[in-house]
Amino acid sequence: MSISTTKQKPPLSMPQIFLERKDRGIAPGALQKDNGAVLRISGDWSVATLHSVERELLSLARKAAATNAILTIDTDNAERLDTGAIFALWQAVGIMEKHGAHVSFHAADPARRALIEEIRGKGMTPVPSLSYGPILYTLNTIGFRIFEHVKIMLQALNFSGQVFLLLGKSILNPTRIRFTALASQMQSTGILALPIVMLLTFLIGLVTMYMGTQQLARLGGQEFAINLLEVSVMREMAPLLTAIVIAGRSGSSFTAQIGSMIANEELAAMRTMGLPPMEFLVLPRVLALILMMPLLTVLSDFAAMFGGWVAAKMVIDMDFRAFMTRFHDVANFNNFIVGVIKAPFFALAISFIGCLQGYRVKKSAESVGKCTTEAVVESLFLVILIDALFALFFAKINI
Amino acid sequence: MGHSPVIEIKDILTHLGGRVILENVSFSIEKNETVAFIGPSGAGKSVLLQTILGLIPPDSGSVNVFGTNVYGRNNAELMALRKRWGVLFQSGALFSSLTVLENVMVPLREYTGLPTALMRDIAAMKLELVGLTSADGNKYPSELSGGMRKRAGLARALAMDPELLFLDEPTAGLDPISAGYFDKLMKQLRETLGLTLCIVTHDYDTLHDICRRVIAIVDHTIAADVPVEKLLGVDNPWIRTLAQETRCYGPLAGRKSGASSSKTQQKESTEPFHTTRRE
Repeated sequence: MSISTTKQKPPLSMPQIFLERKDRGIAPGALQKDNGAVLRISGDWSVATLHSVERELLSLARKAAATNAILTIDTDNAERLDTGAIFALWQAVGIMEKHGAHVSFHAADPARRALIEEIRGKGMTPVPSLSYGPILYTLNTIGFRIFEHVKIMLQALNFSGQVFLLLGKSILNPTRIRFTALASQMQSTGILALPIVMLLTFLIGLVTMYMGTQQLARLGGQEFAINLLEVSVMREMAPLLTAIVIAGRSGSSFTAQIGSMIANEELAAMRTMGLPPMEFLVLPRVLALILMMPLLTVLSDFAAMFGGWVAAKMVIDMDFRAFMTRFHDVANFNNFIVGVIKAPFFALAISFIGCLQGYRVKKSAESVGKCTTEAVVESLFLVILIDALFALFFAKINI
Repeated sequence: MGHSPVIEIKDILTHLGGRVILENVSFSIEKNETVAFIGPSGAGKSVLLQTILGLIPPDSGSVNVFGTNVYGRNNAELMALRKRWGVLFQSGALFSSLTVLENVMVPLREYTGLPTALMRDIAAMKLELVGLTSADGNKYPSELSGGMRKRAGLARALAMDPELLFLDEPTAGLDPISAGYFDKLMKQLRETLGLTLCIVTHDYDTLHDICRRVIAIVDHTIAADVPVEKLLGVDNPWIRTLAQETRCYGPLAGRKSGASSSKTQQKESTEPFHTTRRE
C-alpha cells in the first residue's frame, strides 16, 4: 500500500526562487536598474518547506528591488503554493514596494490567482506581543496579584454572607434543605472517606506510640508513652489529619464539580429554572461536611488509639486490657472534646473554600485545575490557622 | 501511477457500550472531492468521523487515509499523515491555556522550522483569513463567543495548509454572513490547494453550495451515497421526511446575504434542494 502511495504522490522538489531578466533569461549578477525582472518560484512552496527558502526570498527581494523598478513574481512553476507561502511572498512584496519597486503576481491558474488575491493584505497588522521588559513584568505581576487578592477577599466576604444567611434560614426552616443531596454528599464526603482517614490515623497512632516508647525507655517510663499518645492524638493529630485528608479529598472535588458545572453552563441552566445553586449545590456540601467531620474525628481517635495499642503490643508486649485500663486512667475528657469541637470549624472552612473556588472557575479546563489547586492550598492553610487559634484560645481558658 | 483514494473505508463495524454504532460502512473518497455527511442525530456521524481520524478503533474493517492504515503501527507514517490533514471540531476544541494566536501556532511550531516572528505573522494571516482580527489573537478561548471559537478552530486546522480537511458542523452557530464567507473560503481552498473536504453538516446552504457528493448515515449505516442533486430522490424514510421538510421552505435557495459569491447564486435556482435558512 505504501509503495503505491509513493508512486501516486512523487516527492515534491524543494522550493526555489530565481531572479530572471525578462529579455535575457537568468542573470543572477550584474543587474541594472531596468524594467521587467521576474522572480520565478518553483518547487513545493508550502508552509512546511518555507523555512528553507524564507531568508533567500527576503534577501533576493531586497536585491531585486534595489535594481528593478518593475517586478513580476511568476508562480507558474511552483508545484504547490499554499496560503503560508503566499503570505511570505506578500511580505516580500511589501519589502520590495518599500524600495520603490512596482510588483505584480503572475499565475496562469485562475484559482491560484484568486487565492493570492485573497491573502493580500491579510496578517499585515501583527498581533501585539504580550511580553514586556522585566521591570514592567514584575510591576504588572505584583499589581495584578494584589488586585486579584482584593477581589478574592471581597468575593469571599460576599460568599460567606450568603452561606451563613442560607445556613441560618435552613436551620429556621429545615424544609429548605435538600435531603437527597445532603445524604449523597454525606455518603461521598464522610462514609467513603472513612477507610483512608482511619488508616492514616491508625498509622499515626502507631508511630506516635512507637516513638514515644523508644524515647521514654531511656527514662524507664515506657508506659508514659500512653499519656503522650492520648494528648497528642486526641487533641491535635486526629482532628488535624482528618481535616487534611478531607481538604484534599472533598474540598478539591467540590471545586472541580461546581467548576465544571459552571464551565458547562449548568449553573446558568439551574438559575433559569429557578433552582438556586447555593441551595442545591453549596448548602448540602457545607452541611454534609459540618455533620460528618466530628464523626470522622471520633472514629479517627479510635483508630489512633488502636494503632497505639498495636505499637505497645509490639514494643513492650502490653495486652489490650492493660492498655485500655492505663488509657482510661490517664485520659482527660477535655482533650477529646477539644479535638472534636474543632472539627465543624475545619469542615466549614474546607467546604466554604471548596465551593467558593468552584464559583471562581472560568470556562476553561485550565481554570478548573488552577482553582482546585488553590482550594486545597487555601483550605489547608485555613485549617492550620484555625487549629492554631484554637490552641491559643484553649491555653487562655486553661483547658 | 498507482491509483489510491484519499480515504478508503471498508466494512466498518463498531460497537460502543454493547450497542451497534456503525455497521457495514464502506466508501472511498477521491482527491479534490467534497463530501457531506448528513443524517439524524445519534446515527453515528460523529463516530464515523472519529473512526476516520483514528480516535475510535472499529471492531472490524479497515480505514486507510492517503494509503496509510490509521490504526497501523507505523508511527512515522502516522505522524506524516497527521501533517496532511486538518480537523475542525464541533466546538473548536481550542487549547484553553493558550491564546488564540498561540493555538494557531501550535502546528507551525511543531512541524516547521520558521522563525517565531514569521510564524506569528502567518498565524495572524490565518486568523484574518477566517474572519477574525489580529486583535483577537491575544484573547483566550474562554473570552470568545461560540462562533469566534469555531473560526479560530478553523484557523488552527488550516495552519499547515492541509490536503484533507475534516469539518464537524463548520457553519452551525455562525451568522449567515460568516457562514457564507466560510463556504466561499472552503471552495477557494479546495480549488487552489487541491483540498479534499469531509463535512459533517446540517446546513443545507453548505451542502448545496460546496458539496458535490453526500453520504447519508441513517440507522448506523449508509442510507445514501449520491451526488447532492439526487439526494432527495433516494428511497429512505428519513430522506423522504427530509425532502418534505426542505420543500416546505419554498423555492428560495442559498444565502441571500452579501457574503455569498455571485457565482454560487447563479446556479442555485435550477437545483431541487430548496431552503431558506438563517435569513
